[in-house]
Amino acid sequence: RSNRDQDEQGTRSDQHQERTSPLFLYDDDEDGGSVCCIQEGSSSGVVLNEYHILYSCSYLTPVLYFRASTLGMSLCLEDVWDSVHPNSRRRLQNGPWDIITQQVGQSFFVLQPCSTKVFMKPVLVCHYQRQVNYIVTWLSVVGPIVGFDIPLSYSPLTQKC
Amino acid sequence: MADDKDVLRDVWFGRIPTCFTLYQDEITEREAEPFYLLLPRVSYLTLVTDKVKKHFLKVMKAEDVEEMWFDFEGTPLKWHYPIGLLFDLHASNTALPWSITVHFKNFPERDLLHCPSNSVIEAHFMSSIKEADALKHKSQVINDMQKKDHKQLWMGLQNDKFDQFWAMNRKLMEYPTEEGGFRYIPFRIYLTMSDRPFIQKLFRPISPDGHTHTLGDLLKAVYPVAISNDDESKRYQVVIHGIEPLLETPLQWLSEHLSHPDNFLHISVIPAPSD
Repeated sequence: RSNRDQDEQGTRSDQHQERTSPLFLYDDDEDGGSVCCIQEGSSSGVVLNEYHILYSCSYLTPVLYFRASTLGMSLCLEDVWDSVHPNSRRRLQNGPWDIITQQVGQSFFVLQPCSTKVFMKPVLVCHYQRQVNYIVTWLSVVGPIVGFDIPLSYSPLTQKC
Repeated sequence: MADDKDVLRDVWFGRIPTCFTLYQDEITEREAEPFYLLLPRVSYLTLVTDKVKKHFLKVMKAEDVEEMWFDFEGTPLKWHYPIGLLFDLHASNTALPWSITVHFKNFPERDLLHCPSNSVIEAHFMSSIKEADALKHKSQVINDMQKKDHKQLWMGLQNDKFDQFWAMNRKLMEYPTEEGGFRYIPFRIYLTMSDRPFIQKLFRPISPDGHTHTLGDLLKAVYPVAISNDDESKRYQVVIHGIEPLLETPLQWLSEHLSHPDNFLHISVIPAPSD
């Protein structure tokens, strides 16, 4: 798990966003911020996924970046779309390029952050009544779309900061 | 004195005369003539080069043709960068027409994104606009627009329709009068002499004590190397849409008038020519 998980909480304060560094794949922090998981690929057998959580200064939300490969070769964008969870398949078909796109140079795919604020809004409202772990909650929504399932054992964490 | 609105038109209708030559190792049935085209600065290579493809396909067999891509002096050209930015960054101080080499094989996977259809360009364009509005207005303006309004922005660009585009885009250029400007300025500074593709940071158009930030203020804050001291000769040029704006220009004004259609200020910092 990335150390960033602990200090990135979704907040609207100006001071918070100024403290963090811009969303920048090519910049410093690529160390230790990744999780790997293995999923069954459809035709090509085992797929190795590597996930990174970064913070977007433009959107003031976390962003999920991931790399997918099988037998050492990167998956192409079409294969990644095919591996999206069936529940999200219809939404993806309406506008695949709006959901998962590719970043050049390092074969990363990114889950577009534009709707994060929208689905996290009810969570932030609850935050005033009880503590909420923004990152775990956010990840439980976006992770499964791209094959990253958070075990249920994490659910008590959603109530701790 | 030119009206500010004239600047918008000048930016939109900027063109770069370009000569497309087929890569010598491509397999052709007969000699391929070069193809000349005026490229819109504010558009994207894969959106405006259908004619180029058609021209060279006339002398090639279908089986020898894969996805078209371009290079300039050996550097693959990223289609997802605006054309004007590519020119300013790579070919600013070279002779016109801009000489681009056309390829149909050996797609450089590490350097370029694939572009199988215009939907890819549209999605990329719209995601830039959305990010720009996240910075300018916390996404309030773009989210208040309907899907058809978003479509209008894209169609305006695709079909080179200035009025259609700006009928919608003007909403993205508004701000509450009491604020004096956008929340943050969407900009990217591109460097030729660096591993880093670009610099993008949070930067306000007005300082907390009400002082209007200029282009010079931005550079001093995020890339001071670009500004030379008075006593030394200028090492770098700071170029937007092929010109060097005065460093005293207010950043808010630049953002409203010299942004690309994707609502970002794309700024090139290139070595000054040594005469």
